[in-house]
Amino acid sequence: MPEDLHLEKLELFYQRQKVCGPINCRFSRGKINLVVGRAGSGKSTLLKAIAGFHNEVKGSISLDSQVFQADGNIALAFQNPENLFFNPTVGEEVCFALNQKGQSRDSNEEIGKKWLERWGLDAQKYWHKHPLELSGGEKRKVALSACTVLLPPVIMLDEPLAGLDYAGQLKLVEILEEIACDHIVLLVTHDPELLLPISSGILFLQNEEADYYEINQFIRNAVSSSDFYPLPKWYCQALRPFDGIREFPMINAASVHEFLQKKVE
Amino acid sequence: MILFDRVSFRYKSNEETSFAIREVSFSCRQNLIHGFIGGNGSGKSTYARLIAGLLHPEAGKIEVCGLDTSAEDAQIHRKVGIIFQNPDNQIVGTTVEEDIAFGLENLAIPTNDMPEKIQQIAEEMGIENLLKKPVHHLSGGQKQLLCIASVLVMQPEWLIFDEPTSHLDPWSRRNFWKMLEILKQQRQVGIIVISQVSDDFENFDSIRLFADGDLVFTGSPEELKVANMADGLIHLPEKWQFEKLREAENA
Repeated sequence: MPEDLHLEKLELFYQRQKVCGPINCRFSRGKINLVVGRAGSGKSTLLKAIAGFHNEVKGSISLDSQVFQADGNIALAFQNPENLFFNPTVGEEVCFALNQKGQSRDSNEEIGKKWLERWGLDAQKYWHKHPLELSGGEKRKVALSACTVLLPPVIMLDEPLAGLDYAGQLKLVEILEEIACDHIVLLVTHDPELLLPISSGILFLQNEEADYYEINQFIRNAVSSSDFYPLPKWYCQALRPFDGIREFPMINAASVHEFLQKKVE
Repeated sequence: MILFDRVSFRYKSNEETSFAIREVSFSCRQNLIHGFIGGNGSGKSTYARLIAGLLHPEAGKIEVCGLDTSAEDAQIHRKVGIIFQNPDNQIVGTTVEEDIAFGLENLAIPTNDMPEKIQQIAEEMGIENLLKKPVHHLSGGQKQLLCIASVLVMQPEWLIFDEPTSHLDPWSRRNFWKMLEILKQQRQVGIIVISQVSDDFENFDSIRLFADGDLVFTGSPEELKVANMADGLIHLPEKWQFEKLREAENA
């Protein structure tokens, strides 16, 4: 079971131009690890660098103090899953990595169907469909299933919430929370709100720099200053008078309302 | 004006599993931002494709600007521009300039007239400094602006955005809504935004909620806020839910 993925003085370049860095942080098991930032700040490049697809890097990446070499030990779900589908059926797409490992096709099918169901797709109905026939949200669920069938030590997801409806997003949170117990999960997102309760920290990439925040510190900064990171305005307005508190309520109506009621009492 | 008159439609290739649109009627006025909302597989993107003439109804009639979408495909394609969810699926040029020119070439605009039109639309979208840039060097937000410019240059009367905010960072989302408001005011176009991002809802002038192909709600954001929608049909913005809780407490 992996414990942590350590980035040390990691710098990312694109065509010799610096994109971001130095990045110094530890992504640990137990809770998920978020990466946020503006478009073009280097979030996806960071995932690709860890996955070994992007080599213009300086610094080091280590897994449990050993130099990290991506070699069957990571899964990466890309931003636009439909661009990468290449199998004629959903079933083959989901089971591709398992089949490459040479395990029995029957047991692979069982695992693949289990994951499709977990991500909210009826395996019976979708198994033989062409992946490109599906709606955007359904494609995303197929891509997530394909990413999770193997569950290597490091799981990386690039904007997995995009294109999912609310029910699908809740499902994602539930599954990731469980996976993070014994895997290192990195997740790039523009919508951290739902994920904050199951996250240990946030790596914020901006202006070629990278800062790692503990969750409450990140929220405190965003509540105190709208220039820091645009969390929902209603949340920041409601919490601004209390920005000295140690633990912020989750970013949903019920939690904030309950918090304010307790403060009044 | 867009008019749906008892429209029915279903995907024939997988008829046993897909949703069906059954005798649905509604209309959308120009100069408004219409939100088409619903969960995954609710049919909202199919409605957009029907309006754009990319799909045709099985029964009933769809009119866009007085034209029947089943009978006058070519005209409809000029009247309705779609900006897809993933800009990479839409960009065909190797540079920004070439991509904008592509639509003009299809409209058989004389080559001499193109540079002025390209410059004009690039300035309007704030991408005039990027005209010579290779498209693969653009950020996600810049690609989206390019797609809008490439569609707008053809002067459509309706613009359809398919989940435009789901891939944008929170800063770009705010800019997107400001830009849409300006487009509505200055261009006098009708705008349809397909979305399941609940924070988008209050930016719409009018909302249509779809579920399993059916139109289950039509009204303003304020009306949706107070409507008692069935559980699981739609997730209302947390802001609205918070306001409701506060109002109930104060009542």
